[in-house]
Amino acid sequence: MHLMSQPSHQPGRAEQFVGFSILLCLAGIAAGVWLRQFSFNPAVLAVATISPAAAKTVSTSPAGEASAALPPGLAALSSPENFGPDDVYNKIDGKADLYLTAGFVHLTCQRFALTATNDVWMEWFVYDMGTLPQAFSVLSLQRRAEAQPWDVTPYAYQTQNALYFVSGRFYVEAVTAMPLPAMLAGMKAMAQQFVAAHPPGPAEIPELKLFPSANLEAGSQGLQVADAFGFDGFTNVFTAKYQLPAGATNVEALAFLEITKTAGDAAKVRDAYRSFLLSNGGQELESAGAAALGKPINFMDGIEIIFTADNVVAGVHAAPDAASAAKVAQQLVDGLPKGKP
Amino acid sequence: MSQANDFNQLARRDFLVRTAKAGAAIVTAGGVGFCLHDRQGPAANLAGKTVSLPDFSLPASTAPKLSIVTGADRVKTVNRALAALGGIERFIQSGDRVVLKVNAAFASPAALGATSHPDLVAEMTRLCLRAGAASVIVTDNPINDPQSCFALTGIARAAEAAGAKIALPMASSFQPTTLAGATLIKDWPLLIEPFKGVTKLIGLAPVKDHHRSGASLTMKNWYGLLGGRRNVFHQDIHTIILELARLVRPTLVILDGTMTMMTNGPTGGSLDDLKPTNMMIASTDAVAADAFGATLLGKTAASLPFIGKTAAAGLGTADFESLNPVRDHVD
Repeated sequence: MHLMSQPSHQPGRAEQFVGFSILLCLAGIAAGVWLRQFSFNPAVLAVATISPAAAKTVSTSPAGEASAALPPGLAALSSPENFGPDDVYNKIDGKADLYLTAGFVHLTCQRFALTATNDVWMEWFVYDMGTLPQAFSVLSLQRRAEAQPWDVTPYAYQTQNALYFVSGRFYVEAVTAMPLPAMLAGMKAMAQQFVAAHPPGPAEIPELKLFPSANLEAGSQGLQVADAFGFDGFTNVFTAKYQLPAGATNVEALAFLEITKTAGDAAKVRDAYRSFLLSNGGQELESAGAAALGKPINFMDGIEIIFTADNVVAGVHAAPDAASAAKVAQQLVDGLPKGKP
Repeated sequence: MSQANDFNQLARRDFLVRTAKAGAAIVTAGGVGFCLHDRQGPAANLAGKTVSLPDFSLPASTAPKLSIVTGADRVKTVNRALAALGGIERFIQSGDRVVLKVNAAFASPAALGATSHPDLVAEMTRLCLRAGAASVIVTDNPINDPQSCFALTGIARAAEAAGAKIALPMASSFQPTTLAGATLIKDWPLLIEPFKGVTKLIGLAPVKDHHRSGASLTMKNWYGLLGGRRNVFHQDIHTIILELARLVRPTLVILDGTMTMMTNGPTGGSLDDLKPTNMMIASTDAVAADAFGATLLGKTAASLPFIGKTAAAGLGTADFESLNPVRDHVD
């Protein structure tokens, strides 16, 4: 009985403090849940708010900064609009998935017009993609066939009415429907201002230099962040097109590579991709040319070669014939560094 | 009993009491949570009862169901395409109240081909009014801000100049709808206000590539009648197009393949995304129209699952040639 009244059975101050703190935290969480349930995200169940004012918010984002220092001859036609991963579809609809898959963070866009006439205007889109490679990925996946080189940054091109470039983690588009010389000049000046205002950091992507330059189609390099060639085991696959002379015409073959952490990881990806091809109707071919790189696989009338070199898994995708595939694959493996890149 | 044993006995009792209290607290909290749990979830923030669209389609007839007219001038080609089906009078009679469901999804100029062309919208308005329509309403629930979309595409100005009224979607324009047997369209906000008193519905859609569905044609165009956070349907795009095709039974669809967005759809952006294909398609069979539209994109109907699904559901035929389309050309 004496022990029952020992002070050791009574909660001490420290214990009381911890207990009250926990109760306080729980009460805070309960209050938060209680308050939050009154403002359930209406976008899920209700009609989208249709208010132009709601979409037009003043921004301190790159587009906003761009409008603050516009080139001569351009004036803001609208306020900046901002979109995050939850609502970017409000701006670009079905194309949102392309950006979201590549790591989209934020979009700011704004319209600008020639001061001489409000009828001639362009829209300026700044996509914050998080990293340089991710910004490059969305640039490369949408590259227009008629693209013309443009040297504002290493990753940039222009078409008759639009500019597309990557600067650091930003992917930028400037689009006009009326490509008057004054408008195009203003768009280019604005792009140069943007690049100057946003130092790109590492300007180039080292993986792209692993593709040998012989027969490489200019501007054809790309990056597929996920699910390259329909295979979900690929992550960050860089690609490049090669044009092989074949008589009067060229034969096109797509080389690819992914850098993994270890040689073991590379081998796992290689084996998984081979299994994927074979389990979906692919057939192994006997080919002397690239036997050292593994047997080519005929998959849906395209030739696939996949091999590893240390921690790099690489290959050729959908080549029209085995000889072309083998040639590009050999060229690719010869150009890879010995050891980890 | 030693002092140590007393301590152990008492400590055990104390432990049991505390455990019982803790258990009671857990049971009470769980019970309260169970009682308060809302199994229905929050109700949609929509006023009014569930609605549905009337069936605007014409009764079956032996008249032509599909016309394909080549030419670069939209005004000429759409007139010829309608004439090939029996004329606008086959579809619009005196006193009809007509909705033209356009694609005004983006606030981009008509020249970029992401939206219905204002020339086509204006001409269809004129044709309907000339046929005796009491009113023509042009509507869509765009992806972007509606005012900007209708203004910057040029649709508003062209349609109003031709005599149509623009029905911009407001929050009050939507009512929940549920499609029988649907997996996606359940208690979902539908743009219904512009359809009050309407007797005829005509869809006007451009031919576009689409990142998710492969193509944006006449049936995908009904997507613009949905409200809410409809982008969730992109995860099952072919099913939502099927359900929209079941939900919306138009009088006529016009597929504008004058300038086809071949790549980077549905937004496009570069003029290089466009290709002059110079086709105007008019049809009472949206599946057939879309099946033909697929060919303008260099695709086949079989490569677009929503066409197969809608054909299998009996909403039309993917074999557009079986309809013996009326083909014509205007300079």
